[in-house]
Amino acid sequence: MPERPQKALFTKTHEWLLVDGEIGTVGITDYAITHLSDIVFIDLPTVGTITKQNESFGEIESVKAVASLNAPVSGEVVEVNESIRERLEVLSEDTYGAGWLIKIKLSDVGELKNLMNLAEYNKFCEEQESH
Amino acid sequence: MKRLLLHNLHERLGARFEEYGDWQLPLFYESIITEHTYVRVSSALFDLSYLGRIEISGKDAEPFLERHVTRHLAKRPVGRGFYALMLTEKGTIFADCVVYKLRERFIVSVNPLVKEKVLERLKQDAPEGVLLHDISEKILCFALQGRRAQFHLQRLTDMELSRLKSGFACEAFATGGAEVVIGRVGYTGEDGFEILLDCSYGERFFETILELGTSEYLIPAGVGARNSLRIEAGFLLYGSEIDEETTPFEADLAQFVSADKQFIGREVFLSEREKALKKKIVSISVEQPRIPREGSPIFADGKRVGTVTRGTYSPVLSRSIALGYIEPRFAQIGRELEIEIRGRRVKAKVARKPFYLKKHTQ
Repeated sequence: MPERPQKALFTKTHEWLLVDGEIGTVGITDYAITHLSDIVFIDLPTVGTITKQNESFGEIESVKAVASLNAPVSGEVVEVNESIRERLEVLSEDTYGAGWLIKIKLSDVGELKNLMNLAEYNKFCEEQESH
Repeated sequence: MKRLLLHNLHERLGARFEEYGDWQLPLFYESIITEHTYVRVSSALFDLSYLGRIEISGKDAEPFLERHVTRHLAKRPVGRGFYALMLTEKGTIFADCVVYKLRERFIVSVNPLVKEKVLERLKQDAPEGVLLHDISEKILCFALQGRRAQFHLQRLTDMELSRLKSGFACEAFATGGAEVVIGRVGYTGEDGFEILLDCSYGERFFETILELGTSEYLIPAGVGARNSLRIEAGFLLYGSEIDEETTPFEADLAQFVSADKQFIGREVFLSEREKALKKKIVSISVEQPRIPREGSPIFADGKRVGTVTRGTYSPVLSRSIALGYIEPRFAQIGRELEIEIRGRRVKAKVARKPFYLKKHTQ
């Protein structure tokens, strides 16, 4: 499994965010990918879509289940990883790199404080496992 | 929640669990698609000990059981099993089962959702001289499925497995001090065996066969793959496609009912033969990777005509497939349909059943 990046921020619904200036790159974490398993379909928004923190921007479907993709931050979608739809294996091969889903132009940097840092997220996942 | 006797072993093997009825069962170990594919190209091992197993013996066991199942029991030789239904008085499906006819006894294997009611019905009806035993806890059940199943199982036994002909041949024999019942059955659309053995041997059996098999492409598989395999092969599941609201005609299971014998529900069954159906089971092929789920509405020409019972992803066809019930006049192969999946309609078609048919090589 790919290593979680030091600088990434995380949601409780297992999306990751890497911020560079005013642009945030969004994906789903290795935890989500392992637990969904057998991903067969991903539904992503189009460029220009407005996202709201914690609200759905798409969905991901596995043989067994469907999960909503939730935006880590509010803003506007400025880029979509179109090629991922045809190459879903990249999600597990390069989760925090080529496995990104969308890029969002942040509208409120203040929202970042609502997200978990790496240490907090690692602990969060451990707690989830022990349930 | 009930756990399998080998729950800890499954956990050690990396299983993720899912609830089914009262049971917590291995959903998959590595991935559903991987395990599905192993069954299609090599082999995989399933722990089916959650199925209900009822043993029926005594001198009147045969005429007694004959009344309950929809196929001829007395006409069959010892060493043959079969798939059959049990009907309600109303002619609907009370349960479906696999019956093993062994020397002086029968083993009836049923879905865990119906075990208690089947046992209750048999007890109510059993005359003196018929012994009923719920052996579900004492005797475990495993399935080895796939074209290499015989190769793997033969490494563990001196009994010549080629003697068991495909199509539910079954045999009880003693090995290593314990009795084992092996039946050539499956629910996957591939060759394979079910192995019934005493619970004290379960762990050793499961571990040994996997140990010997690892280098020969044998892996454990969970209920996720069992479900996608059975849908691909066109097998129905009690509680999903069949229940007491469904008749054998609607479910396309009338071929498993022998009308020329006596059984509970026969009169209604015969009278329904002439009637028009309200709904009919269909195999549905979806033109998108999105998977129709239980309860997804089905449309034809913009009008609601039915409901999906269960959908999955077919690794063999690389597309989503489903089973469902629709109004019979729309059930012809190739008929264009639409399925609503979470608010959006996707194109689909009535497909030939089954989606997957094994090439006969043995």
